[in-house]
Amino acid sequence: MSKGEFTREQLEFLELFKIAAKYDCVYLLDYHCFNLFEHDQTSILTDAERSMLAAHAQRDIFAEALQQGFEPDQVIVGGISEQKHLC
Amino acid sequence: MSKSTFVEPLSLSHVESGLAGEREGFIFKTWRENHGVMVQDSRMTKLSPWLLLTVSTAEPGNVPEITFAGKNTTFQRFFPHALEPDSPKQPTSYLPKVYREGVAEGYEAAFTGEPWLDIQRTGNRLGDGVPDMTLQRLLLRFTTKTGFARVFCLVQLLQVHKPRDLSDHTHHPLYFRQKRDWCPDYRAGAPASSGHDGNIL
Repeated sequence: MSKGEFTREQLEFLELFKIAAKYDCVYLLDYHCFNLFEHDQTSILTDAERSMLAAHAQRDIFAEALQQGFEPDQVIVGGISEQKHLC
Repeated sequence: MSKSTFVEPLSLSHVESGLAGEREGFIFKTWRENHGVMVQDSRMTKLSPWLLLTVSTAEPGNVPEITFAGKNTTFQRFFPHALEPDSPKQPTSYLPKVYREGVAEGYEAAFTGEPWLDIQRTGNRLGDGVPDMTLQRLLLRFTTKTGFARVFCLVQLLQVHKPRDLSDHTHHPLYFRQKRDWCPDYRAGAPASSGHDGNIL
């Protein structure tokens, strides 16, 4: 599947998942998913649900990633830059 | 802290013996078995609605920034908008300063990796609209394999105290009116019961 075949929501979520995996905090994504949807199977979420999950988990995962050296340099969720969202 | 509020450290034997509760026992056992290392565990995920997570540093006398609050936490119950994605303030700032100062000590212990258990009486320290409660709090620091730490906070609501003028007959409006005749300030604003100093987080 090429990048062009993903929806915007899917791409946003994948970016967040990638950061969570890189900084060893996928468990946070599980916690947020479970809290919102009472399961932790992110693969069965609809695009709208993924978007909601990303919005809720973003700050948490970024907080962890930033402390481990993550340098945000791109727009990820909802058109808000990471820097603006966190500062 | 006023007389109606307190924070009392408790022995961790209460957790080990199961007295502190099933969830507390489970997370403490997990923490000990994993040597404080966080691993992906579906049982921990199922516990997450009761967990409050914070970063592992804070200014002296303050509490660390809250990063996650499960839907069944006392914090989420009384400050439901604090962790909304569009919240304009940091979640911790929803807690009154006087309360944060009162409960900071436990975090200082947890930051060093020591488990911490206490019981708190909140009095009026959580502000208007939040009742006076007795809470039990367990703090454990978990680190990821890459060494990043979070403090896991498990709070159990033990009791919600009724306002004094409703629960104590000596403060029933009838008695109160009679006593005001001879002592206008008769225990005005006095706590519901004697306690200790110190106190959802």
